[in-house]
Amino acid sequence: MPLEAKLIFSVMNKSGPIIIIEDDLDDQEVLIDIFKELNYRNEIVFFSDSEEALEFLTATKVEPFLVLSDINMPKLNGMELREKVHNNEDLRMKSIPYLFFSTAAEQKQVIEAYSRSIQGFFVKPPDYNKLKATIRKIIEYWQECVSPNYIKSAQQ
Amino acid sequence: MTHGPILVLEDDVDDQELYQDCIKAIGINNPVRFFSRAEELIDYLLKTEDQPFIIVSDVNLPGMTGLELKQYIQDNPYLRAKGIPFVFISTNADKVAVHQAHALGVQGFFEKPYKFEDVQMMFQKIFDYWALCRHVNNT
Repeated sequence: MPLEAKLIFSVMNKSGPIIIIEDDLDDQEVLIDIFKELNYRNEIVFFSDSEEALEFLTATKVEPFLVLSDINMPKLNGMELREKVHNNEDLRMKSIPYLFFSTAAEQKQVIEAYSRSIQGFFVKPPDYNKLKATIRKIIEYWQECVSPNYIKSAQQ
Repeated sequence: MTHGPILVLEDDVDDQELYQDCIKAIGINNPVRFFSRAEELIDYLLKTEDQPFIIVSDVNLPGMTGLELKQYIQDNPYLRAKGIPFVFISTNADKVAVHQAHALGVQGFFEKPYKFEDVQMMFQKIFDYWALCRHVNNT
């Protein structure tokens, strides 16, 4: 692990924004309603364009709580986006839980996803209440997890 | 939830028993296989035809540590392709270990609670999540 001698520990805040990358606007609206009902303190940030999402994730100083990403999207698809995020050292240091959230799951995709060390692969249930229950389980799981303390090298 | 075995890597026999009891208490019927050393778990993974549901691992172990095990699986194309969710449960999670675990792309890191009911709840949360989640063995 390329950690330098001087380290700054700062606890990743679990109240950081939840980033949702979803090109379908109808699906976005359903998710907005669900998050409103669940009433978490986290800000929810939507991207319908995966390239914009990448730009946001790489440029921003914000430390997101987690990323929920669709797979089938124009331009960068979910796998390609994940690859770019994973190859970015600053982002990898933030250790943001990265989850796929897709309408379907093919075995090939699932294997590929886990080879890229994702933290979950969920199929969107078509039913509103089931979708809500899924979202709740995801958030509760990662809230319970020991937070990845964000360590940043103080050098440079 | 798939019926594959739950693999627990934990060198403390008391904790092994505690986990066994908790998993049973929440009505999970998957077989639970215990390993006290990472090397034994690797041997098993290389030979078995089972499709394990999840690996639950301690961090501090004699010999190869939990972090080294996760790294080993990550670096081995055969083991990596099994796509088994890997979750740490640690008694005293120090910051560096938590960070390293997440940098290795771990699928969860939990601190072992003291009370039996809380350990049960932790397992419930872990199994709920991974039962709902798609992975190689249920897709």
